Amino acid sequence: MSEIVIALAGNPNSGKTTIFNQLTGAHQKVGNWPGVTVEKKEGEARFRDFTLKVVDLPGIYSFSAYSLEEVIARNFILEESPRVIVNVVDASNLERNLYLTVQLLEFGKPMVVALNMIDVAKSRGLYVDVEVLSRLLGVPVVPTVGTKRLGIEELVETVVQVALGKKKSQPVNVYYGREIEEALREISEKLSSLGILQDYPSRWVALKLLEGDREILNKVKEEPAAEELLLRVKEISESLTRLFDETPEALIVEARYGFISGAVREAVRVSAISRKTLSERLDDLLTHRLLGFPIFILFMYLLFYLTFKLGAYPVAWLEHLLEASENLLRAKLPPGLLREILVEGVLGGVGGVLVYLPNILFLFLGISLFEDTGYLARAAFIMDRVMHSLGLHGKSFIPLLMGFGCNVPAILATRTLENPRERILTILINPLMSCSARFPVYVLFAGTFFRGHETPVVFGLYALGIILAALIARLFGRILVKEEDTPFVLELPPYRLPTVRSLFFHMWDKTRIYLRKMGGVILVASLLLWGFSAFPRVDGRSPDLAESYIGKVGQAMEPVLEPLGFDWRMGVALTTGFVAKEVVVSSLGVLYKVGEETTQTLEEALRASGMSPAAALAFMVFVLLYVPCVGTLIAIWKETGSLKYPAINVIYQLLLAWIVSFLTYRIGQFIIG
Amino acid sequence: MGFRWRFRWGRRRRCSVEEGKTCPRFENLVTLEELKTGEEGIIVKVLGNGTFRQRLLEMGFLPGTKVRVIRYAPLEDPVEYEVKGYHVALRHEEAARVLVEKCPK
Repeated sequence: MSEIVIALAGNPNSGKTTIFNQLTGAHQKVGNWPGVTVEKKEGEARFRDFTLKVVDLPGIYSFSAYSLEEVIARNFILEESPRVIVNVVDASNLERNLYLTVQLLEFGKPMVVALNMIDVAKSRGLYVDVEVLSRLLGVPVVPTVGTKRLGIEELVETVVQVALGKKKSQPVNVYYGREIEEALREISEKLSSLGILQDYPSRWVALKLLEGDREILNKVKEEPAAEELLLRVKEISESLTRLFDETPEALIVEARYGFISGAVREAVRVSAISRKTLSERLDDLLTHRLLGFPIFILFMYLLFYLTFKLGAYPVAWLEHLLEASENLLRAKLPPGLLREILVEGVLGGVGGVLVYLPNILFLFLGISLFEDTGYLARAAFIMDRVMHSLGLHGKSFIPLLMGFGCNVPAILATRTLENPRERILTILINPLMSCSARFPVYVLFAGTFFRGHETPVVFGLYALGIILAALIARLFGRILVKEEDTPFVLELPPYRLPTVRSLFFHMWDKTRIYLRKMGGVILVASLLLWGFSAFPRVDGRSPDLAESYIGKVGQAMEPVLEPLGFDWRMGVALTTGFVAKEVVVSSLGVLYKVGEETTQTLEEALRASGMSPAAALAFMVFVLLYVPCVGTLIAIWKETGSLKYPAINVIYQLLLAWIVSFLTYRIGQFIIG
Repeated sequence: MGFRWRFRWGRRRRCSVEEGKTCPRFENLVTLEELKTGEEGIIVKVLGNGTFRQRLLEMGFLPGTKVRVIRYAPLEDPVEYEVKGYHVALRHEEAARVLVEKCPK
């Protein structure tokens, strides 16, 4: 049995993921590309005696070095030398898709084109002559329909035959015109005579040098004889620019598209029925000037409802299950440290992981539905103006909206953003969206101190979060992540009906990442935090909350919190809120009721404590703004791949919380006393 | 970019192949941003440089290519275009950097 490594390359929206899933089924491994946070997927396919190791390259439009994904994809092809490249091409959008194909041909490696979505192409009156296309490209072309599993067997068979050399795959050289060809020949010769980058195909390196490719230029610069070569490349570039009044990189793009136009003219027959497609008519409605927004809001509402309202049922079941296990353990085990560790520490930790799970499942089901149908791009189209004014992308909207439910799935949802700058900004401001765990705190304090005015108070808190998020986004946009001149260019693919299978596949795929990447860490963190509240032991039992380590930390913070009108008990409650924001309420319950009449409710206890309404308001503001919960921080850490960002979140949010609460308290004292 | 460049070049160039309309070159040079819904133009040049220009060219915004304005977003920005048989949205600030020859209706 022998293993054949194949690389799967293609444009976004070309159906590459579907083909990957069809090829590999459940045999998939998800990880990251070394050193970066871009997701890497690998899978296995069997064919007779062969095992095909399929590596799914990131979906890209081109192989320039402008994005991380592009660099990863081409470095894999150049350095890992897959036996065969499979290029997934959307037959209904052939010209744009073939641009990547032409660049793949330039690597000069054995390749097979999977001409995907031929059914869609046919329905639009486009008939592709597979034989002709194959002859023009010099590589086998296999028609496929990924969603219906058509052509997959043929694709695998062709790949194996190409790998064994039984079927010819000799990528053609695209002709770039006399002047550029001469330049390429000269640079290639210089490359071999100077012995520069000999592991790479020399024509390809020459092309990249002419294109002014940053990454290749840097690689060449490391070589001893580079100076002479680079000088010559510069001369050639300048003379080409003078000759054509256009930069070489633009000339190369034009030549590639020229080749493609020719190929398409020969290989594609258009039966001219250019009536409006169903997709275009759908768009007339869904992105309509007046109706677009209401429909968008309706869809967002449904997504929210699905995630948090329907998600609440499985959450309740899980809680019952955890409660039952807790009772079981309590009944079976003698009281003592072991029972406490198991019941409160471990079960509590498992609960902390599982409690997000149903929400995450439902959110990802919704997002997969938006993504697979093509609505996600429309949502970005509709919201981009608002988001762009904050330095964000239209696609930032969904994660921010989800933040009102829970920041953990919301941060996972930023995966739909391709641009790292916009993604990090969206992550950083996400905790300012007031998640549902903060709501019980507002209910308690607004109900106690602002009876009859709860609505404006709570609404004001949500609004404050949004306004501050906007300000912070603009601020960080300036100082933290530097702006690059990358264009927006948002593709709006035709609407597609996803299959149930692929929907659930995508949903499970994303959920699995949560469990694998974050589950363990959240479990450990919850255990640790429980430990801080259960130690030091008093007579072999847990101490009072105020005497535990976590309580001592809270008390130690009193001098810092005093200017905000908070006493030590509020400090302790806030500290315990790091586990999860709703814990603040139960901690307050424990702290304020100790030593008082048990008939007193928490509201009465709070009123009797002499807390002023201004301090109560400041406290709510503080809960809104201060550190994200431990689950959110771990999500930020794992999603950005760096501890820098959770640290930034903790620091800026603490500062912001303190300043805004201080202002609230001081101004509030004047107005409401 | 409100100004228009007026050139009169003798050669006429076909604008819409299917409908057989003609579109004199540089009669009506505007930026892509100035085209309204349903209007068409032939790309003359993508201004700017570096990543922006390269990416736009790679996405098919090449000189000589026809672009059609499909629709403006409900808040006017971005704008959906059809180019090379697919749909793509650009922001106004980007469309302002693409010079097109507007086709007569």
